Amino acid sequence: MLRRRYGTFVGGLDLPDEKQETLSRPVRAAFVPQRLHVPLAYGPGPQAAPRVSRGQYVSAGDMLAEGSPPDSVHVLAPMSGLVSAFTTADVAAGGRFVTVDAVEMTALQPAQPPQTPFGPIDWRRAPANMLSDRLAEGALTTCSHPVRPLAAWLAEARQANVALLVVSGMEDEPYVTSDHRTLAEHGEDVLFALALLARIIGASETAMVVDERRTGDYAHVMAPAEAHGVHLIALPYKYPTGAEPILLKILTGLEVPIGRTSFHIGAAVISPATALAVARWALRGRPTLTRILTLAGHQIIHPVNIPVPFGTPCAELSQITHAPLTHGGPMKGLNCTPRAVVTPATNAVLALAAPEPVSPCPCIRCGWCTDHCPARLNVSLLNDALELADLPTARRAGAMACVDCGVCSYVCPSRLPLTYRVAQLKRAIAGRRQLARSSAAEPAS
Amino acid sequence: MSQSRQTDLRGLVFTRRHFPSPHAPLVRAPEAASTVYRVTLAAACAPMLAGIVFMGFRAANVAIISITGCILMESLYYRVTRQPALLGLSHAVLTGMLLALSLPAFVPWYVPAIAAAFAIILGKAVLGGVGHFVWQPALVGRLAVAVMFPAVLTTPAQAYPDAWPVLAQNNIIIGDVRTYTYEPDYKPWHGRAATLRGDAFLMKRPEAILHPLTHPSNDRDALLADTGAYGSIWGMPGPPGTYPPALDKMPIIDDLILGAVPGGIGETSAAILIVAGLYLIYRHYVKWQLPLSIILAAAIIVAVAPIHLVAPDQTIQRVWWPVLHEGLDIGVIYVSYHLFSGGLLLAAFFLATEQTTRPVTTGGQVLFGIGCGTLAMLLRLYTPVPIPSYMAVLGMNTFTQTIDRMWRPRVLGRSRWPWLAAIGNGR
Repeated sequence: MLRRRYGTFVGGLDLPDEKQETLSRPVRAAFVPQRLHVPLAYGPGPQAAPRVSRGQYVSAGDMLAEGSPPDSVHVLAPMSGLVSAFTTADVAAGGRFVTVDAVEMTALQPAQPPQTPFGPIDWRRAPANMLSDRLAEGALTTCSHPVRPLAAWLAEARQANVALLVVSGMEDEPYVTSDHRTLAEHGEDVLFALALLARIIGASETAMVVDERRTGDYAHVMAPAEAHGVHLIALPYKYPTGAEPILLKILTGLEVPIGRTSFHIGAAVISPATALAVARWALRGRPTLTRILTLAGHQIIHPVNIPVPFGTPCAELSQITHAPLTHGGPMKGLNCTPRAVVTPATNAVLALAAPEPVSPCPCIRCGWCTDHCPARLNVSLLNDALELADLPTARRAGAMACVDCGVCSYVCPSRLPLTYRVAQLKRAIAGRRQLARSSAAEPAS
Repeated sequence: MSQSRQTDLRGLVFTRRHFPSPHAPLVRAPEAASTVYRVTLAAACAPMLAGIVFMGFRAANVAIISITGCILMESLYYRVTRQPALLGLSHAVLTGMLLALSLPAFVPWYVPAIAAAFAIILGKAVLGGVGHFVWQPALVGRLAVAVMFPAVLTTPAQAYPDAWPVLAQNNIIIGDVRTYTYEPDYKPWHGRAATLRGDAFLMKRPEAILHPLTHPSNDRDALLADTGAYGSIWGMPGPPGTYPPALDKMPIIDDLILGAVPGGIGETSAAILIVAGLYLIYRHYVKWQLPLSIILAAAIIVAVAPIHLVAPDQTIQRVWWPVLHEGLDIGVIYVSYHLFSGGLLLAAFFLATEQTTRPVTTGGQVLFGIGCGTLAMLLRLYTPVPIPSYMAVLGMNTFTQTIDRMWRPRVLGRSRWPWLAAIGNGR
C-alpha cells in the first residue's frame, strides 16, 4: 500500500520552526498541580458516571467514574488526593471547547499508579481478540483529536480491514516538540505498540513517519524497527504534512473521500502518544494518567516538555500570571478558556505573545489562501459564500474537504479569520445534511 | 493598573466582535494587504521614472494630479460613507499611479483630475470599495476620459493627426512635451546625438504605424500611401520618392524596448515594465502564468491574424499567417513590434494583475489571460479603439466572477470526473 517514493502535496508552506528551546531538552518529572478538574468525557459524547463522593480520598489509578465500555472509558484518578467538588471543565473537541462535567480533586500528592500484575503474554502468538480485550481493560483513549476510547477505535479499524498503520511523528506545528521527545526517549515502546496494534487490527504494513530534520535523534529505533518490520519514513518539512489526509496522500497516493475517515482507504494513523500509552499498558500494566506536553512560548520562562496529569487546569501551567494561553499548537490550537483543562490530546500549552489586534479588511482576492490550501480549496470563494450565506455554493466548492490546518488564515493579508469561517460553513453544511437526513427518515419511520 | 485593565477590556470587546474566541491559528504571516499595494506601487514607480525620463516633467505633473485626485476622492468616500479606512489610502495611491501610467504626458491638467474622480467614484466607491469592485478602477478612469475627451487624448497636434510627441535626445527629463516640432527626417535617439529646436518631435506611435496593415476600413490608396506595402510587410525597395514601407517606418527596436517612442507615460518602456513585472512575480504578488498567458495569446493572434497587402496587380489581398509570409525572421520582428508597442505590457504586468479584478485560481487566471491577450490584439488590429489593451482587460474583468465560479480545481478527496466514477460504480 505504501508507495515506493514519496512526493509532496500542492500548497502548504514553511512555517517558522521555533522549536529550539525544547527540542533537545529531556522530558522532566511529572507536573504537580494545586487542583485537578478531571473531565468525565473528552467531547460532546456520553459522559462517565461518577463513582466517588465528595470528601473521599482516592489514590492514583482508582476509578473516579464508570464508563459504558464501547462509547466511553472509565475515568481514573490521575493523582492521589481528595475529591472536593463536582464542577465543570472545558475540553477541546472538534475545534472548540466543550463544557463537560468534572470531578475536582485537591490535596494532591505525586504517586506512581499501581502496576496491574499481568502474566507475561506472548503477543506475537496470542490471538488478536485476547490482545484487544487486554487493551480494553486499560481505560485507554486515543491521544489525538478526536479523543475516543481505544477499544472503539480498534473495533472500527478491525471492521474496516485496515492494511496500513502509521504512527505519525510529523510534528509540523511551530513550538510543539512533545511527539519528538516521546519518540526520542520512548521510541522502542512506540514501535512495540505499533507492531502490537497492527497485529490486533490485522494491518499488514506498518510505518513510522518522522520529520526529515530530526532523524539524528531517532537512531536508536533503527534496530527495533527492523525487528518489528516497521518502515521508517522521513519526510521533508512542509506544513501541514502531519494532517491525516495529507500524510496518507503522500504515503499511499490515495485520497480520503470527503466526509469519510482514513479507514475508508484502508489506512489508520495514530500519534506517538497513543502508542506510548498502549505500550505502557501492554508491557508494564501501567495506566496512562498524564500527557507529555510542550510548555513553551514567549511568556514561558522555562520551556520544557513535561508530563501533566489529565484534568490539570491550563491556567496552572502558566508561569506568569495572566499570560494568555493556547491549548494546542499555534496553528490548530485554541485560546484557553478559564476552565480549560489538559486532556489526552493536549500536545502543547503555549503562552504566545498576544497578537496585536488588527481588524480584518475586506478580501482583496490576492489568492494566497487558494495557492497555499493543501486541500486545493478556493478559500476566497468560500469566504464569499459565508458572507452571502450561500451554502450550496460552499458545498459545491468542496468546503467539507477542509483539513483545518489554518494556512489560509495564516497567510491572509487582509487578516480574515478564514479557517474559522470555513469551519462555520462546514458545521452549517453538516447540520443541514443531518437535518435533511432526519427529515427524510421521518416519513419512513 | 486602570490603564492596563482598560486595554484588556478593549481587547475583549474587539475579540468578541471580529475574532470569535477561540479560533486558530494564533500566529500570522507578517504581510498585510496594504503591504501588497505598497510593494506594487513601488514596482509601478519604475515605469513612471522611465516615463519621466522620456516624456519630461509633464509626466510627473500628470502623476501628481492623478494620485492627489485619487487620494482626495478616496478620503471623501470614507468621510461620506463613514467607513473606517481599514486599508489606509494605499490602494488609492496605487490606482492614481496606474492611471497616470496609462495616460499620455501631454494632456491638460483636468484630464488626470477627471480620470481620478471617475476611477475612485465610478470604479471603486459605487461598487463597494476595496475588495468589491468589478473593473480595474484605474482603467475605468482611463476609459471615462477616452470617451469624454477623444480629441484631446488622441490628436495633440491638430495639423498632424495620429502623431504624438516624444522628447528629443537632447531634452530628456527637463523638456516640455507640449513644445514640439514636426521634422520627418529626424531619426531619434539612435546613432547620433540629436539637436532639435523644439523640446519634442512628433512621430506616429508604433501601433499606429502598424495599424494600416490590418485595419479593414483602409482602401487600397490609403494602404499604398500609408505603408507602400507592395505585397510585403517589409515592403519592396521602391524607386526614389515612394513611401517607405511599414516596418521601415518603425522606430529602431532599441528605442522601442527602452521607451523612447511616443505613447502613454508608462506604456513605452518595455524593458522597465518587464523588470518591474518580474519583481512582482518574485514577490508572489503576481503569478507568472497571468502575464505570460496574456503575452503568448497576443503573440499567437498577431502571428496568425491576417494582414492586408497590395498585390502587384494593385488588388488588396488578405494574407493569413503574417509571421510566415516573409520568412520567420521578419515575422518574429513583426510580432515583437506588436508586443512591445502600445499598452500591452503595462496591461499584462500591472493592470490585468489587479488582485480584486482577476480570477483567483491559477487555471482561471490562464483563461482570463488568454481572453485579455486575444481581445487586446483583435481590438488593436481590426478596430479603431484608441485603448485596445485596456478595453480588453476591462472586458475580461466582467467575466472574472464567472470564471472563478466555473473553474474549480480538483478538491482533495474528490474525484476528477465524478460522473465517470458514478458510472464506474454502477450507480
